[in-house]
Amino acid sequence: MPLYAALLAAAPAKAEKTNNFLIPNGTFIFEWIVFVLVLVFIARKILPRITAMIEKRQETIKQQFDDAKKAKDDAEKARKEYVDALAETRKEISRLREEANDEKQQIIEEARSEARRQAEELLEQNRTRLETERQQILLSLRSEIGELAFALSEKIVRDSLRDEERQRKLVDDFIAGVGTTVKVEADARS
Amino acid sequence: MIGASGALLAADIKVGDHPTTHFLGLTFNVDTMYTTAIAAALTLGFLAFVAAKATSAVPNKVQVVTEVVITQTRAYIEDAVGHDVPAWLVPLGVCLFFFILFCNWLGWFPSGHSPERLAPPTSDVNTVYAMTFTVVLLYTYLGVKRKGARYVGDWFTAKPAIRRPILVLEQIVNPLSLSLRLFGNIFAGGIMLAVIALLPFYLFPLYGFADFGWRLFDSGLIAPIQAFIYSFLTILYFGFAVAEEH
Repeated sequence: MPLYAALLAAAPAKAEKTNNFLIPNGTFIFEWIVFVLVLVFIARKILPRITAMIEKRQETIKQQFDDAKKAKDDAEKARKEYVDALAETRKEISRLREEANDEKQQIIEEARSEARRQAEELLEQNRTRLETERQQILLSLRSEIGELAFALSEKIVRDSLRDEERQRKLVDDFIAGVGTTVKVEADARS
Repeated sequence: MIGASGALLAADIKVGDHPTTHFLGLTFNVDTMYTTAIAAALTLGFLAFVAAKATSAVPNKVQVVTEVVITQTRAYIEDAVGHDVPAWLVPLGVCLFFFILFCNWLGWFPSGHSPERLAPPTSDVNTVYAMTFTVVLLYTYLGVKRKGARYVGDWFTAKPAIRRPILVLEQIVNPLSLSLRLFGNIFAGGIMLAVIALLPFYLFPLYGFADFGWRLFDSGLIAPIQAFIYSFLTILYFGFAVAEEH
C-alpha cells in the first residue's frame, strides 16, 4: 500500500510540471528532421550501391548457371557426335568388309572362268592340231595308197599275162579292202 | 521495508526526465537530440561502410547480414503491397530497422542513471512519434495514390459492418500502438537498470551481474526484436493501406 500511496503522491507533482512523458514536445521536430535526413541519405546514396551489388551477384550466378548448362549441352552434343561417328565408322567397316568379300568372290570366279576358258582353248587347239594331223596322215596315206596301187597294178599287169581272170578278181578285192580300211580308220579318229 | 523501497522508487527514479533547453517557445530534450545524432551517425556510418566495402564477389559477414535485411525487407514488402513496390519503400524499411537498432543499442553503454546520459533515443516518445509520423504520412500517401477516395471510403463500406468502426479506430490505434510498443520496451529497459541500481547494499555483489545481464538481454534480444517488429509492422500497415476490399 505505501508503494501505491507514494506513486499517487508523486503523480500530482508530475502533473504540476506538465511533464507527461507520453506527450511529445519540440524535440519531435528535431527528431523528424534527423530521421528524414537519414532516410533520404540511405535511400539516395547507400542502398542503391548495396542493391546493385546484390543484383550483380545474382546476375553473375545466373551467368554461371547458364555457362554450366551450356557446357553440359556442348559435352552432350560432342558425345552424341562421337557416338554417331563411331556407329558410322562401324557401318563403313562392315560395308568395306562386304565389298572385299564380294570382290574376292568375283576374283575367284573370274580366275575360275579364265582357267576354264584357257583349258577349253587348249582343248580346242589340241583338237584342231589332231584334225590337221589326221588330214595330213590321210593325204600321205592316199599318196602312199596311190603308190601302192601303182606298184600293185604294175605287179598285176605283170601277172595278168598268166591268169587274166584271177588277176582281175585280185585287183577288185584289193581296192575294196583298202577302201574299207581307210573308212574304218577315219571313223575311229572322229 | 516495502515502504522504504516505495519511497526510494518515488524519490530516485525520475520517469521520462530529460535535461531540456527552450527555443522559440518549444521545449527540447537535449539528451535525446545528441543521442539521436549519435545513433544517426552510427547508422549512416555502418551502412556507408558496408556500401563502400560492398562487393559482388564473396561478401564479408557484415555485408551478408545487411543484404539479408535488405532482401528480407523486400520480400515482406512484396508480400504486403504486391510486386509494384515504390522505390522508396524498401529504403524506408531498411532505414527503420537499422536506425531503431542503433538507437536501441545505445542502451548497452553504462552512462549513469536518472537521467541516463546515453539513454536510447527510442526511449523518448519524440523519436518514435517522429518515425511513426513519417510512416503514417507515407502509407497514407501510397493508399490514396493507389485507391484515391476509396482509401477513406473503404472504411465505411467494409463488410461485415462490424469492421467499419474497427477500421476507423485502427487509423489511431495502429500508429499509436506501433509507437508505444517500441517506446515502452526500450523505456522499460532503462527503468529496469534504474531498479537494479536500487538493490539494497547487502545485495551489492549482485549488482554487477544483474546490470550486465540485463544490458546483455536488452541489447542482444529486445533491441533487434523491437527493431524488427517496428519495421515489420510498418510494412504490414503499408499492406493494409493498399489492400483491396473484396
